[in-house]
Order: sequence, then C-alpha cells, then structure tokens
Amino acid sequence: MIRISDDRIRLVLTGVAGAGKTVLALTYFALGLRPDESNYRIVDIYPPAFALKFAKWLDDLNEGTPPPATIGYEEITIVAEYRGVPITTTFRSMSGELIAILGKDHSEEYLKYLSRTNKQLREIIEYIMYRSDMLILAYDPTAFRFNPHGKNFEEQFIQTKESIQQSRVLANLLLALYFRRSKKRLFGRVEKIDTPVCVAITKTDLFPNIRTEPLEWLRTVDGLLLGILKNRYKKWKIAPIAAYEKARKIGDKGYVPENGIKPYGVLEILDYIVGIFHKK
Amino acid sequence: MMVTRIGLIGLSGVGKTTYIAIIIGHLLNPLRVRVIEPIRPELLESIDFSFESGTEAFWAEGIASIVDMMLEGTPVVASEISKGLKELRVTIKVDSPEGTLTSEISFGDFSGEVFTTIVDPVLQSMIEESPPPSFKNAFLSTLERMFGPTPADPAIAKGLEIVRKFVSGMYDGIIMLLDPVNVKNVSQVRLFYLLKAVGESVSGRRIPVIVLFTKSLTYGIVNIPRDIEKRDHVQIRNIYMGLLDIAKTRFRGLCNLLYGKLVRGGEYDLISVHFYDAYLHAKDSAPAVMYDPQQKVKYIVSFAPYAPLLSLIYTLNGLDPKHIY
Repeated sequence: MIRISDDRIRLVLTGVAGAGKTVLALTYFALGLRPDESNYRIVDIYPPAFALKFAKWLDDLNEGTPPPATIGYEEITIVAEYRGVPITTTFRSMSGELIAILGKDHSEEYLKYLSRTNKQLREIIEYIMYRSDMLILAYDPTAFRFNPHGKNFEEQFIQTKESIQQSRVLANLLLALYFRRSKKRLFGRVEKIDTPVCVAITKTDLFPNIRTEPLEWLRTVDGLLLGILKNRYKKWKIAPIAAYEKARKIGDKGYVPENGIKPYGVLEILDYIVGIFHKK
Repeated sequence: MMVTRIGLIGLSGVGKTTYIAIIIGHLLNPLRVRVIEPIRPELLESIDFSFESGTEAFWAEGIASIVDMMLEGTPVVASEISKGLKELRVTIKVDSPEGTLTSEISFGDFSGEVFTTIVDPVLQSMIEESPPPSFKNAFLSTLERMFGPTPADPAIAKGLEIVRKFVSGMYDGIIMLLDPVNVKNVSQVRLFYLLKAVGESVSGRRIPVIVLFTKSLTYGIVNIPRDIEKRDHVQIRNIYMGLLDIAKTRFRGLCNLLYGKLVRGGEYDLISVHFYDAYLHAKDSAPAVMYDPQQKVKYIVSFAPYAPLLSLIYTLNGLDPKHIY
C-alpha cells in the first residue's frame, strides 16, 4: 500500500450536510482528550476557532446543553495518535452547490461532464487524492423516512428526496475519484483501485438494528453505492457508528446524549485503518 | 548575576495575583503571611529578596494593600488588564548546594483578562482551514490585523504588549496556574494554543514548566492533617512528596491536551506538578484570617507557595529541584 505521507496516516471524512461529520469530529475531539480510555490522543487541532467551539460544546454537554445541529466550516483537521500510530483526520465539508450538482443525476455522461467542467468537484477529488490515504464517507440514515412498523429494512427505511440526493452525491464522488485514479472507463468491467474507503453509517443510536447487519442495510437502501464499492474499490468497509450511546431529541435543537459522549464504532474505524497501513 | 524571567500564566480567577502577593507578602512580613512549606527550613530561612531599584515603594505598598485586604477576609479580585501588566521584578537569593543562587526574576503576570480581551478573540477569528506553516506567525498576524500596531485603548495596548512578549518566548521558565476542579475544556484549549505559539519561538531550547494547582485545600482536593501546622518539617515533606505524584496524575487526567504539549511536544520540560493553597483552613475563596495574640497581629497561613517557585529556580540554575526538600 502506497501512502501519501511517510510519517502519518491521513484521512479525509466527508458527506452531505447534516450527515453527522461535525458531531463525529466532536467525538474524536472528546476521545482525544481522554486518551487513557480511548488510546486516541490529540496532538493538535486546526483551526483554533473550531477547537474552541468543540471545547465549549463539550463543556456545555457536561451541563446538558446540546451542540448545535451543524456549523459552517470548510475543513477541520485533528492531528492525533491512535495506539501510538500518527493519524491526521480532516473533516471536509462539501458546499451546498456541489451537493446539489452531484445529487442531480447519476449517469456516465453527466459525471464525465462534471469531472471536466466542475472546479469544485475537481478540487475535492484532488484533495482526496493528494492529501489522504483513505476516504471516509458519512452516511446519514435519518435521510430516509423511518417506518417503525416495517418488518424489514426495506419497509422501515423509505426513500426520500434527501436519501436519493445523498446516494447520488456519494456514488458520484466515489466514481469521480475512481475515474481520476484509474484513468479507465467509468462504467463497465475494469480494474479496482486501492484507495481504502469506509462508509460510516452515522447516528445508529437511533436505529440499533443497523448495527447488527450494516452490509445488509446498505444493500437494501443503497445498492448503487454498495455496487460501486464492490466493483471499483479493493478495500472498503461499512461501519455503523454513533457519537452517543443513547440520545434524545431536544425540539429542533438537535440531539443531546443521555450519558455523555460514549461513541459506538468510532474507534473501530481507526482499528481498521491502522490494520491496513500498519500491518507487521 | 543571572537574570531569570519567569512567566506566570493562568486564566482569569485562577489566582495569579494572589500567588505573587502571598510570596512577596511573606517576604515583606512573615508574621502577616505565614507559610507551611515542604522545603528545607534552612532554605526557606535563606531566601532574601529586593525589588527592582526604583520600584520598591510602588510594589511594597501595592502588595501590602493586597495583604491588608486578605487580612480583612476579602478575596483578591481578578487583576484588571491595566493593573496586571506592570511587571514585577525582584532579585531573589537562595541557598543551594552550589552556593547562593541569585536570580533576578521578572514575574510576567499574564492577566487572565488578557485571554478574554485579546487571546480569545484572536483564536476565534483563526478560522482558516489549513494548518499554517507557522502557528505563531499566523497568531501574531491575526493579532496585528485585529488590533493594529498601536491601539488607542491603553489597556488593550498594554495587553498586546504582554501577549507579544510572551509569545516571543522571552521567559526562561513558566509557572502555569490551574484550578484543580474547574479546568474547563475551553480553558485547556486556550492555554494549549498559547503554549503552542510560545513553543515555536524557542527552537533549540526547552522551556521548563511548573504546573501549580491553586485552591487545592479549599476544594478538598488535597487532604492534609488538620494539625499540619504542628507537624515537623520531615512529616510535612513526606506528606507533600506523596502529593506530587497525585498532582501529576490529576494534571494528566484533567488536562491531557496540555500534558501532551508539555511532555511530548519537544518544546517544554514539565518539571513537576504542585498543589498549593493561598489560605489554609479557608472554606471558600475568602481568606481564613487568624490572630496571633502574642504578636498581636492578624495573619493568614499559606500552604506550600515556595516549593514550585524554588523548583523552577533550581531547575533554571541547572540544579536538581529535589534538593529543595
């Protein structure tokens, strides 16, 4: 496996707005302040304005106030060590404009056209190519309408405009990255690329059944995305995660954890990454 | 004579002014400010000091008035930005195995108000996405952009001066005061970035740092015998030695971001972590005032204010700080 950087593993995490990237960054920040429990230790964080925000949110959470649902940022970088392995994680947001463009359509012609003409798409793809060893995609199950009476995933998770947009955005992003990396045809039988990808299904504290069968869940709700992973990427993982063990909704103000930040699956992503890049 | 510049940093309300007032107040009048110390009694006896020439009256009166307030049972209020910035310079002489150490110490009192007025707004406006090549330069240029080279408000101008001096790495050693209970994550992050900026200024040397938990007895963090004043030096020293490890563990647990910066960052040497309290027997932030009928004087008792300072002075003179006990 060729790494971008010799001294540390670099990750880029992205996803559509509201998918849980910020809370995930907050979760890593919180874990990094308690390395004795998590083995994850923060060395540095940029930009300072967001480190202060995160710190304030954690202080507020300790007093029962939920963090805001989302904040505007382009990029947050956490420089850390996990089990002694240096890992830099960049939480990268996508502009509303790029999300709208990527979520508009899913066809070879459209993506080829975008890859040639859309500066924002080119930038984020180059960013992923040159500044990361691995891509993490935040996948939001609350984009679907949930039917609690459904007997299986298909009946429980009903497609919505948002879920379709999320699927197209992430699928197009993976295909655009594949296209740049492989220089091969977009569709049809071709060689897989070796950029590892992790699809992190966020907010699974709200849907614990996803945790037991994450692959089956993704197959049911987003066969398009799973197909791209299977056919274009050599290494991929579906990781159900949650920042909170149990959360309750506070009106429109977002979720507040009932027992503080006790993440599910978040460190397992790092285990997977360290396993790929630090095989002895 | 070696000039040693010691910077005191801590957030608003942590007790920096109180700490200076206790040390200098004791040196000015040990009957009014009494201390219980784990350091060797002869070492404590050997301490001599003088103010920088020309500032004697200003500081003697200023410190005496703070001690007067303490003896009225009034807590020391947070330094206002304009008051906390005039640097206190004293020459301290103290015995050591290598003979008398003479250090001119400049206590740069990095007022907590400087954080809220200057450092915080600067950090909050640093929202650029990518890590800059030099954090210190990014910090200083943001400072310059926000406040300009010569702000009209004299308090802000003085605040900027001390921030610039601090960030330039002019201090040989740092005493970082922390509240042992209320270390908020925000406080930790603020101090982290300040240390980060200072650390970039001192390439090639490592700055010794002493961490000092204030108000440790008041909060009940430290349990010492109620009759500690009646114990002899060996007993007090033994009790204190046990506290040093607890203090370090507490620092690591409460402030891991800072701990990592000081221990693993490569720019600092964390010498030791200490518990101290300005006022023995106090129940809250108000001093516990006692009366000595023989001397007919009101007094306060402070727990271990010298141990951290002398640890730093010994370290800065290339001596093992263990020799102070």
